[in-house]
Amino acid sequence: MSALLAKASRQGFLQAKTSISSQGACISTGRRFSRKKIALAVAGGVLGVGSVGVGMALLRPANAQELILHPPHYRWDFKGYFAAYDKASVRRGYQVYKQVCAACHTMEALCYRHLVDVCYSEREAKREAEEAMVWDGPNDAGQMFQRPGKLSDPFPKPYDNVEAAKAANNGAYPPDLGHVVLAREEAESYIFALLTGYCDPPAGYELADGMAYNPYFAGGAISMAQALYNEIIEYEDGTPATQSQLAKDVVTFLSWASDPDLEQRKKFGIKAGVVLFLMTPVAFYYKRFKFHTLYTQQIFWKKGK
Amino acid sequence: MFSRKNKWVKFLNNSVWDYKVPININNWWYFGSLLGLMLVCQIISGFFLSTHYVAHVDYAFDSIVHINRDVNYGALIRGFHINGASMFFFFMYIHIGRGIYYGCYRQAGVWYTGIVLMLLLMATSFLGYVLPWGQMSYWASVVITSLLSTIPYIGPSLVEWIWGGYAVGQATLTRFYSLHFILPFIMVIVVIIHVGLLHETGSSNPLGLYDPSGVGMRSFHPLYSCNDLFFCLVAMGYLIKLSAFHTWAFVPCENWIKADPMTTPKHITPEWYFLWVYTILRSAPTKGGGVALMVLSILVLAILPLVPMTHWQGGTQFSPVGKMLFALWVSNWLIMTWVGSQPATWPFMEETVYSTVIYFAFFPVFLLNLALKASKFQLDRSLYYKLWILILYVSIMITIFYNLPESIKWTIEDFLAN
Repeated sequence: MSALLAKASRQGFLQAKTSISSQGACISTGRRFSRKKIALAVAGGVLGVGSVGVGMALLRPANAQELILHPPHYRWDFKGYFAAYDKASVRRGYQVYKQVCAACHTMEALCYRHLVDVCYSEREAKREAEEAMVWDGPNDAGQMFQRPGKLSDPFPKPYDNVEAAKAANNGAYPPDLGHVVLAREEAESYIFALLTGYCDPPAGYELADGMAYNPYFAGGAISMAQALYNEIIEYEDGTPATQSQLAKDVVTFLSWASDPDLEQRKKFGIKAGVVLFLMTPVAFYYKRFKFHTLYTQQIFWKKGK
Repeated sequence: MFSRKNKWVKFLNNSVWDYKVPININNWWYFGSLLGLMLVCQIISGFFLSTHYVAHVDYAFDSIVHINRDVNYGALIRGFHINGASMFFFFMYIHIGRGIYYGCYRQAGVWYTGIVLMLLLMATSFLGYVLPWGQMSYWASVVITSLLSTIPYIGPSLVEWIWGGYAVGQATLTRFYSLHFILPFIMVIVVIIHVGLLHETGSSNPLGLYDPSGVGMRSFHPLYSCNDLFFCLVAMGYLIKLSAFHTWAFVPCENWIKADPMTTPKHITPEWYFLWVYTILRSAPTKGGGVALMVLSILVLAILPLVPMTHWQGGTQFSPVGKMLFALWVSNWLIMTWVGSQPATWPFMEETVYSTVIYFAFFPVFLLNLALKASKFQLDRSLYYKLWILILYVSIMITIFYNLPESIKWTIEDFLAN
């Protein structure tokens, strides 16, 4: 360990390679280790780390107390340094959200204007907004009135308030979907697994009235009934609307809704990366160039006469 | 005007441009300038965020959402600020570790201002963590401020005074925002003092030798300035990588849910850089004991300058035992960081006790080792310092023992009885 630390700390910096032995070399005992001792220390280290690893591996089943099935890690196509959201999938996902999810869930952070140039043209987004009737006012007569939605309007809420939402959903409040992907452990994979993971409860599992069973949900009993089935909606672009396709598309849409800025940041990262990739080696060369006299010099200490 | 005869130019020139640096400093010495870089980055990104942030319990979370979605490069700037804080702590821990390993604590003034900077950074990051007003922000503020209630007599009143009411609310958020804004500028002042004190005596070096002749010294520019430039570019590369591609890696998922005083999150864990302190807090069965140990875990660093002074200024680098102790302490620190992130169940809760004991036991053994080494040089060792260390350690050990879980206490008592 001491030899490794000495190496890491680069004390060899001032070691003279001549007959004069350096201070570091004299005092450090690490250099005097025989090969046998080093082999023994390495074997001991490997054995120690290995046994801790085995212990940790054995510990895992003991922690299986919470009855949560962890989802598999799916490979999402928008993950990765050079990947972007599949805009066609975002558009299909919005269709699923509008026709299925929006019946119960809010999406307070999103307005129709956010869809422009992402998955809709401005004209299409305006048409989408106009489909919703929005309360506005008061007008000149002091009356509240309803009007067709505009691009600046947020997505409509399915319930007037939290209590109404709870009353309609077995006492559970359907969470806002604005940041739902970021707000869940295991993010996209969890939501995909939840949407496609409904099944019958295991034998002996008591399920209350109006509840459904989903092994990916903590505890298993979930107030949200299975929402996605094969061909539950018809896609505008003719993509077969299988359950897994619907789930994948809505998860892509929700990921975009949670983090719409992702592509802009990646673009910045790539640009800055290119600049740094060019600058850093130049800085490294310059540093070595300036240091070369220092690196090649030797210092001798001699006893005064 | 800019002639070197001008006293201010001369001062600046002597403290930066022509400042003499030992030629043998290694890469661990550059983390100091990286910390300066991170402080500047945090102040700049923080300023831009402050222009859009609203310190109101009803709008704080929405203003963060607004920054993410509607402000040009808003999410990126937030990414810089969040990940910059993590890198700030990462560099600081390396800087402290370097100081302990190479005996830099011998420059007492520099070391003590460093501890003040560490406390200021911890306070600033905690205050900043509260500002987004998500679930974790809110509950972290409740938990951490409540720790002060353990102070005898004034504790409960102090907590209410800090909250500005009977619960964490609007007044708390506003004052936390103000403090979060002002503390970095106080840090800048302390940094100037820290660097000024360093320049009084000059930088330390891996050999621990003092070179009054100046043979082993070179001017800061151009050698070390271009070295710093290289390291700053590498650090900026990492910061940009984190901010652009893994922006939310350090944001707990609970913090994407607006603060709800009626719903407690399932697992409350602090940021990774506070996990080791959290482990110490959890190692005690009583709240007061945990808080006492937590405070001591930072104050204990202050006893290091009390090490016997010798003409030889080195640390553990030439002491195999010291190296082993240091490696053990660092490993223990890493384990503490990991254990702090685990749920409060067996075996993690039991492990916290051992980690805490090792953490504190390191310091007297480490100092003893150095003192023994110093005694070989037959140099000044004062009884006064030894007494101080002894008193501090007896009090720490008593605190630990009184907070040990009952089962372990019985085992120790049985052992002593037999």
